[in-house]
Amino acid sequence: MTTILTTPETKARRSRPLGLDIWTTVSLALLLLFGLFLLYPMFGVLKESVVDPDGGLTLSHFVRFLANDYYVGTVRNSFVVSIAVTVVSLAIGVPFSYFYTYYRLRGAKLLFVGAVLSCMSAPFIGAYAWILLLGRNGVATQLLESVLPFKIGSIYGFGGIVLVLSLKLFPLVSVYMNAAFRSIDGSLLEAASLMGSTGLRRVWQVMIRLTVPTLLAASLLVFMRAFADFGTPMLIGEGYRTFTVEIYNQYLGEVGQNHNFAAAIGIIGVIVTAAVFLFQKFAANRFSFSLKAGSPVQKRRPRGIGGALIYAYMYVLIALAMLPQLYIVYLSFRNNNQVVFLPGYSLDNYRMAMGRLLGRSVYNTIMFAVVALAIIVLVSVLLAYLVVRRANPVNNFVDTVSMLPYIMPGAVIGIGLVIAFNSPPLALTGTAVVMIVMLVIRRMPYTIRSATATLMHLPMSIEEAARSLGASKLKAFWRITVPMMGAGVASGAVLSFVAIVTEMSAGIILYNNRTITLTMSAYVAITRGSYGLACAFSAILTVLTAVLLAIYLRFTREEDVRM
Amino acid sequence: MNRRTILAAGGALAASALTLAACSGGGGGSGDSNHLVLYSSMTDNDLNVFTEIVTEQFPDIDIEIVNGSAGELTTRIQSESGNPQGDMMWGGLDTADGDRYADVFEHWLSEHEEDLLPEYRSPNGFYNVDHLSTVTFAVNTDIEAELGIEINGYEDLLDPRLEGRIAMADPTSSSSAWNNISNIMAVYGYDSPEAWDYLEALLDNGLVIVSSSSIPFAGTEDGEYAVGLTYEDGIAALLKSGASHIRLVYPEEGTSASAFGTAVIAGAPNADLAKDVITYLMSPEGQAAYAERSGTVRMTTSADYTLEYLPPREEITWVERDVEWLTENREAIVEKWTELYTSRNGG
Repeated sequence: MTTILTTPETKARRSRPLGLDIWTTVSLALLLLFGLFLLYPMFGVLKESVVDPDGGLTLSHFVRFLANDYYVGTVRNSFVVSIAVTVVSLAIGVPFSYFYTYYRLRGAKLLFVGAVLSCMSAPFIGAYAWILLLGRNGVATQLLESVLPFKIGSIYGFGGIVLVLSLKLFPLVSVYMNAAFRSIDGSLLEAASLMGSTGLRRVWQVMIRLTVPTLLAASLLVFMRAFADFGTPMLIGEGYRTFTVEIYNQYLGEVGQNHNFAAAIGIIGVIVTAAVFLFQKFAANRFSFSLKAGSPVQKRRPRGIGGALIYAYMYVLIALAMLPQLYIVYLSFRNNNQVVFLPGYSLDNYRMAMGRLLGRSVYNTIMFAVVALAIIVLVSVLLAYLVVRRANPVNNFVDTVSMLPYIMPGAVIGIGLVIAFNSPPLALTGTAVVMIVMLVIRRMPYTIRSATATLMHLPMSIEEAARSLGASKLKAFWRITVPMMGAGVASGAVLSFVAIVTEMSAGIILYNNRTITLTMSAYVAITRGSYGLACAFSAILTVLTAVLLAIYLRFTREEDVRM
Repeated sequence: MNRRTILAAGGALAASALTLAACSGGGGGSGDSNHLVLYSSMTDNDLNVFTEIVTEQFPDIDIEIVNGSAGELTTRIQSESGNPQGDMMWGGLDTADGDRYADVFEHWLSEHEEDLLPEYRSPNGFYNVDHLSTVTFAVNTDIEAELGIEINGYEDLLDPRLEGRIAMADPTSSSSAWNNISNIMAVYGYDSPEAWDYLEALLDNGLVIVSSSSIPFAGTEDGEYAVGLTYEDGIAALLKSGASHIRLVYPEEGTSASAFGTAVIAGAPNADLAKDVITYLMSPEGQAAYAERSGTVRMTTSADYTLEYLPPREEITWVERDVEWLTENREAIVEKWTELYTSRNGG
């Protein structure tokens, strides 16, 4: 310790050309962890997909998939529906951000919280609420059909999935775009006006173009979330089958289970997402520039008819996005007997939920989220430092590996973990450890990205100043670098938190009675037809996320959380 | 703060996280000899009755129920085989499974095998076959009246007015849908052209394939569908809970039942308690108690009992079901079904 403190840095560096210091230990530890909990399980899935029942090597599962229109159709459906969700989310999310950023709106905070909350709900809960509202016999369907002279379409299938997922995912777009719009310098817009580009033309010619990198990033995120989503197509897909539902059927179905085939479908899904990821990367490289606003654009008050329309747009959109959750909260108080909602109100559903592991579900939801988040933040900060400040082949390899889960549907990760850890010496399946490992793996990429991006923008000079004033490497890291990274990492962590609380597609493969979470409890209740119970679990989940969000906003100076 | 403190802090954080996780996740359940972890795909109504009668018999028992579909639960048991978490499974264990789950359950049968109807003795040496699930239609009476039709059997389902309004779960993933396909095979002939022609006609009439076994009866009560191809206990439980828009229809061409069992999970932390509970459930008294208390489930016992919400056996037209044939040919039929379904909906 003392030696390091007193030895001038240059000398220390020279005497350890390979960087055999504490950071080397850290990078080897990370390599080991990622190898054990990510690469090894993924290798398991790959292996599972190419073995036949007798243990020999075969490509028959892939052949079976590709030779059958039905199976290929499931991937095509997933792809088409995800593209549609991405387009719709952009179409409604970008104007939302634009108005939110450039106008001083009454109740802006309310709008913001509403958007984040609707993003935080588990998607299948939205799907179920929309069935009750817009199903063949839904409340809204009956109301509309008694007024309108024609039959309105059914919520099921392609349209329903797009509706539910777009309303859930557009806040991701708008949170990304809020930051991008804020970073546009006012002087650029003035310059554009002087050159005759005003109004909508200016929005298109200048503002959208300046935010293309963010648009692309947001699109990729929405696409990946929609592509991997399982609950929504499961509930309202009916005949419109997506590949996530097919993996589920092959892996957990009652009749035609084939785990090898499920693994093969998963691998094919990963190939598709990898292709999309590379395509996005290619497109993003053509627009790589970054902005920093010196003089932010002043917010205006909305006026006149235009102003009224802006208010209408913002509030109607948020109301629609929140509608399913509000309806679920309302139904959670309705008397109910399994699938039948009866007249009158009571707390019976909550009483029943108490007997159905409510306490444990809440505890697990919070405990998993906090522990997973702590690990995510710790690892992300360390890895970001290694990649940005100490780039070497090992660190770059770990960095690339850590991004793999970004393109992997949850079901694939879930299956991989089961294959890897269902027998001694590491029999982790069914324990909380495996749930936490899954959550960490699934959500780490987001935080790593934001930590790396933040660190890249931090000048090295401040750390160097600390070092030359005698601080140790770790002291400089801990006391100088980490606090400066704080905001960037926290913003990524919020996104992770949202996703962790509503985790579903890998959870369904890994959870059991000891590790059940609120989302899983709600899902189990819905599939078993105990709708009142499902509503109670969902309502508690909504309230819980709202409270956590409120606490978070209380301690964040800027209300504009970046996710 | 020095290097060691930071490392220690980081290490402690990770370690405490994992310990906390391990404590709340692992182990539990094995220590307490009155704690029974039950994996079950039965409905809440069934589980409430089960808990009631079992608690009366074993006053100190503490039952923890893990819900899920049969496929989910058996997969879960398999994936937990290194560290079993459950003691017994009840429901969804179809006699047509054959030896598929031979590694998952302990090969043990209760002493009451001889008290069961002969056709429902264990087919594999580890399923204690305890109850039946008969193929029925849930019919929405409002829609029936609105359309001016009466639905009594399979041929009625081909009425064009019912296009897109009949629901069934997915035969590739749900045992209740497989039950229905089995009965269609039993009525029209196993793998016969007539059976496949009928299924094709049903698909051509817009048969909706839904994701869960409960949707066909629950969705029919809600008015989402006019008819649900499902099983009698699902509908009976709904009627018991106050449903007023559906009626129970046994197809006039004939019906048959899947038989379901209960079994002890291999390596169960509390296998002895599970065996005691299963022994009670399989005994003539346990069978009658369950049937009469629930009023909705037909049992396999040869003892007498009455069911409040189901008609007696004699009032129903039955067809013989060849379980052995169905067990052997299940994969082929499911494959053929998938092909047929794909040709209608996949492209």
